Amino acid sequence: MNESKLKYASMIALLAVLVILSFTLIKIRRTENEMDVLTQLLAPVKQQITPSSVIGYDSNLPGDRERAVYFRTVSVLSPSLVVEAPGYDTLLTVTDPSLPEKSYDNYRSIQQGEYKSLSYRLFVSKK
Amino acid sequence: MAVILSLIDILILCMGLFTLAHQLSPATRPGLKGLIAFITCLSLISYFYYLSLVFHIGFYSLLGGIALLNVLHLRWSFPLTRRLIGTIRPALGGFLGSKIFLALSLSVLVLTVFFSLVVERWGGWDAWAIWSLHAKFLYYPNSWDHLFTNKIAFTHPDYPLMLPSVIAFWWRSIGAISPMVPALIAWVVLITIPLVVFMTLLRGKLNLVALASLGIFVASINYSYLASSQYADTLLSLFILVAFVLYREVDDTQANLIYFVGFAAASAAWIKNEGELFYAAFTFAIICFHLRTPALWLKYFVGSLLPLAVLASFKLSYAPPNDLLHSGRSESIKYLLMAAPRYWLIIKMMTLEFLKGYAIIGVLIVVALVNKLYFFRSFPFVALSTVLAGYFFVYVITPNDLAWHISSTADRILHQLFPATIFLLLNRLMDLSKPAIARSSPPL
Repeated sequence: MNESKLKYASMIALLAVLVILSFTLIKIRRTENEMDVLTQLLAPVKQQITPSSVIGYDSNLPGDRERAVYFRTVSVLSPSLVVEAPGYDTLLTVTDPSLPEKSYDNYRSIQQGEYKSLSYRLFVSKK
Repeated sequence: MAVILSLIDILILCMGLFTLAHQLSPATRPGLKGLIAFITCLSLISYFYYLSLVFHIGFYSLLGGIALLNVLHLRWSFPLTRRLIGTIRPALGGFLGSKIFLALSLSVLVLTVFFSLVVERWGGWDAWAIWSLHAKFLYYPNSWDHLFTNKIAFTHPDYPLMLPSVIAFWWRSIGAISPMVPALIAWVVLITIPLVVFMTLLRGKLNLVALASLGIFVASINYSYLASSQYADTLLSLFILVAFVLYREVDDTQANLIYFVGFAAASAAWIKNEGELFYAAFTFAIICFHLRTPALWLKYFVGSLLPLAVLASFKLSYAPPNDLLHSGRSESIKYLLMAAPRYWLIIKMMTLEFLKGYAIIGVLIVVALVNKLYFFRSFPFVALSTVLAGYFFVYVITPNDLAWHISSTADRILHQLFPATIFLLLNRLMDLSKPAIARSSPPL
């Protein structure tokens, strides 16, 4: 192959790289995963709490799914801290509405919502 | 607006760093100077962004500061920069019509196709649960230090911040938290590694070994898959590779390259905690191999200063204690060190992981040994075996379940060393073209 043919072949390959990369980035932008579901679901919570807030978290989801949803909730609500431990004045629950719900006698619900297969409730301590 | 300013800033910063590399080491090839500029620029974005958070400097002030730095440097060295660009342009014309460029373009195409097939929005588990999550904290200049608490220990808040700070820098530039930024960074790193190995092995002309290096990376599904997952391990593997590539070039005419060797090796410590181990092992090897040349050490440590200062500020002022080495574990560490079955389990699982994803390294080692190309007393062998010994020790004393710890990390640990090992072995195999008498001395 002479120099100009090599140059054209390389340019076509690089053009293909640009096209594929652009489509890939568009795909990444448009697809929706559980992080996006939680971003939609918890948008009102993000407005309700301040960046310096530290809130408790609980869920009725089983095993591994509970881990994934909790980690994603932390990500969605950052830089506020969402801690999976009892005793905080504010408590967020992210639940599957089809599963039995836990009761929180020491808290009262101030906000709730549902999106796709998940729902949330924001509680404050009765104290 | 900010994104245009950022792009201009970074472009000019890269040009300035290219000129700086030329000023410090004029004999170095333009491709290596470009690599130095790229790596240093990437690291500086991270250091500057982190320091802007620490010192409460606004984002536009940061961009203004980088622009000021660029202006000062260009005012001092603009004629040289212009001359360098003038010399590169004609060479670039010939390069674009060469077989070398075609091989590069096709490899980038194949890697990009694979990337587009496997890349996920927000990346793999560790990408969104650790790296992008840290970046989300760093995106908020008034609340970024909330990250550093063990209340969210799952995200490992003690991990260094190069990748998160680079992601956060670009998020601030575009004014939004977008999953496209970490994906694009992952793609850049994915294609940079094979290009660095290939260009370094070329030695002026297209050869079989350089082509083999491209073939290995393109055919290694494990490499492409992990690189597309948006974890920091591939970025770390790039810095480890660059440290060895630059060190290999250090000689009497390019003695000042050792500044950049120190910078790249120490910057690896700002990517992951494993990078700290790498820096320690690499420095140990530098000292062992250059006992009688303290001037070289001095330059190496001067190059390491900025990365080490930033790392020290992070580890001493912000990072919560590491679960591996926190105080109060001395008794349990003594017990774990005496548990012989752990050693056997580590050897067994690491070997299986090696054979599963990195057998090509074994093949290259056998080819080198069959051809009597020994490397056991070489600098890279000492540095890399010290790193591996360090990983082994970490597994022995891990507080986590050992089998789980190995199965969830061994693949990535080998991935971190994979590009450098491929480069070093292929570089050694290139000696096959030399006369037998010249092969006996180990490289570096």
